[in-house]
Amino acid sequence: MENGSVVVPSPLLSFGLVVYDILNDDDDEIRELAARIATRVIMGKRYRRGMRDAIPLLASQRLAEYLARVYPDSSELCDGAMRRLMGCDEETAPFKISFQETLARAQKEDTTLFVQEKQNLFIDGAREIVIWSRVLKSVSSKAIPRNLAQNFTKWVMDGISLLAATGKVEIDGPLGWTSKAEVFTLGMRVIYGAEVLLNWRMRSKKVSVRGSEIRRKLRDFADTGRSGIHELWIDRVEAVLAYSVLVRLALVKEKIEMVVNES
Amino acid sequence: MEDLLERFDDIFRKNTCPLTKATYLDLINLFQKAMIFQSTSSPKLIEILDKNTRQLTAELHTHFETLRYNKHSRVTSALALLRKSMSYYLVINFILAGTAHFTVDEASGNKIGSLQNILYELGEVDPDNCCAILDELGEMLNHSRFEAVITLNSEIPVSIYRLSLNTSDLGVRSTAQSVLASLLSEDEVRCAFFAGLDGNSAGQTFDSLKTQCLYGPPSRVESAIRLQGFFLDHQLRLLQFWNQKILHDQAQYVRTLQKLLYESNVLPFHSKRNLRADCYLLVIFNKARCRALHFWVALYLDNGEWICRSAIPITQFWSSSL
Repeated sequence: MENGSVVVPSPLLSFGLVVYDILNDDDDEIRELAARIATRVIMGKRYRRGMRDAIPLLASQRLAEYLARVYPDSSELCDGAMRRLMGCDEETAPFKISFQETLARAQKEDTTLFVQEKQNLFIDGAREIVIWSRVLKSVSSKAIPRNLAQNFTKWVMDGISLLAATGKVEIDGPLGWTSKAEVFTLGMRVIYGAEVLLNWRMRSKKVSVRGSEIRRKLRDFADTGRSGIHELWIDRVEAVLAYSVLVRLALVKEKIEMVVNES
Repeated sequence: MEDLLERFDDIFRKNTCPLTKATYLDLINLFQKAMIFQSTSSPKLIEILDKNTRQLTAELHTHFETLRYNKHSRVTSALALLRKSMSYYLVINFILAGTAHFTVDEASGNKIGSLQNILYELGEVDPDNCCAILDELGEMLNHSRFEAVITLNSEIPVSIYRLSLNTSDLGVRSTAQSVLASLLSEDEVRCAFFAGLDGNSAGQTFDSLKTQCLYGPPSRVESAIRLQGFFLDHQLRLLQFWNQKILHDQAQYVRTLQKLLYESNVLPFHSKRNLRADCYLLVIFNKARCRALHFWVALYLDNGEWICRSAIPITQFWSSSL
C-alpha cells in the first residue's frame, strides 16, 4: 500500500477522505480518535497495536500525502482535493459562483448585532489550501478532468486580474481590505491555485492558458502589490514565480547539457 | 458477602417493601460485579447465588406476567425499581456463572431461560428497564478487565444481537445496537461473534441497518451506523473481493458518514485566541532581515519581460535540484 506497487481498491479512498475530514473536527477528542484511525490507514498491514499516533495536525498532513502517493491516478482524489482547496462541500459546485461575486461576498462586512459563530472553529482555510494544492500537484495528468481544469483555470485567471485591479483601487493596511480573514484566504486560494495551474501546464495541455500568461498576470499582481497589498500574498507570489522560473531554467540547462554531450 | 446472602430469606423473601428488596439486590449485584472483576469466587457463594437465582427467576416471571395483563396499571409501576434490580441480578449472575440456563419452578409451566430470554422478556414488557440494564451492561462490559469475560462467553454479544433483531420496541433495539457496537470494537470479540454468524443472517441484518440509517430518525441512525460498518466489513471478508453491490453499499455508507459529520458538528462554546496573525508578523520580520543577506536576481522570460525579482542566492540558482 505504502510503496504504490500493491493495488489498493479505490473504495478505500473515500474512507480516507472521511477520516481526513474527521481530523479537522471541532471536537479535540474526535480529532484524537481520527488520528488513531489515520495511523491505521497509513500503516496498513504494518500496523501493530501500541504504535504511537501522530498529533491530529500532523496526521492530517501525512494522510493527505499518503492519499496522493497511493492514488495519483484517481479522479475522485483530484475532485476531492479541488473541493477542499476551494472550501466547498460535496453538494456545492466549486466554480458555480464567479470570482467577482465570491470576492464581493468575502469583502462584505457583517453588520448584525450578534455575530453568528462558525460551525467549525478549528479548521484553518489557509492550511487546507496549502495541503490540497500539494495533492493536486501530485496527481497524474490523466486524473485531471478536462472540465475541472478549464473551470479552475478561468477562476484563477479571473481571480488574479480582479485582485490586482482591486489592489490598484483600494488602499490596504493593518485593517485594510486584505486583513479580513475571508478575503485573505480567498487570495491565498488564487495564488496557490496559480501554482497548481503552472504545475499542470508543465504536464498537460488540459490547462488552456500558457504558463507565460499566468506568470505575466502574477507579475502584474505582485507589482501592484508593492504599493501595499498584504505582504504574505506578495511573498507567496514571488515564491511561485521564482520556482516556476527555476523549473524553466532547469529544463533549459538539461537541454543545453544534452546538446553539449551530443557534440 | 456470605453473611449478606444468608439473610436472603429475612431481607428479601419475607419482606414486603419493594424498595428494601431492590436495595438488597443492588448490594448483591455490586458484590457479583466485584467477583467478576477480580475473577474470584468460591463454590459456596456460587451455590447460594444459584439457589437465590431460581427463586428470583420465578418471581421475575410473575412480575412479567402481571405486567402483560396490567400494562397500564399504576400498581405495576411501583415495582419498576425492584424489577430492574431483579433483572440485573439475573444478568450479572449469568455472566458470573458462565452458564446459559436458569430453570424455574416446574409448577409454573414456563421457563425463563438464558440471557437472551431474560433480555427479550424484559424488552417486551418493560422496555425502559431493559434499556437501563443494557446501558449498565454495556458500561460494565466495556471495561478492559471484562474483555476476557466476553471473549470466553460468546453468548453475551450474541444475546444482545438477537435482542436487537427480535425486539419490537425501537428504543430497546437502538440501545442493544449501541451496546453491541461497543462490544464489537474489540478485535477478538468481533472475530468470535462473526465466526458464529451465518451469512444469510448477516446479510439481512446489514440490509436492515442500511434501511435504518437511510430512513430512520437521528437517534436510530446513530445506533445503526456503528454496527453497519462492522457488518459491511464482514460482508467484504466473506466475499473476498469488491463487487458491484459491495461498492454501492460502501459508497452509501461513506455518504451517510459524511452527512452525519456535517450535520452533527456540535458548536462548542469556548474562545480561541487567533494566533495566526502573530505568526504571520513573525514570518514577515524574519524574511525582511533575511533579504538583506541575499542579492537580487532578475530573470527574463522568452518574451523579454521581467517576471521575477526574487531574493535567492546565486548558488541556489544553478545548483537547485528540481
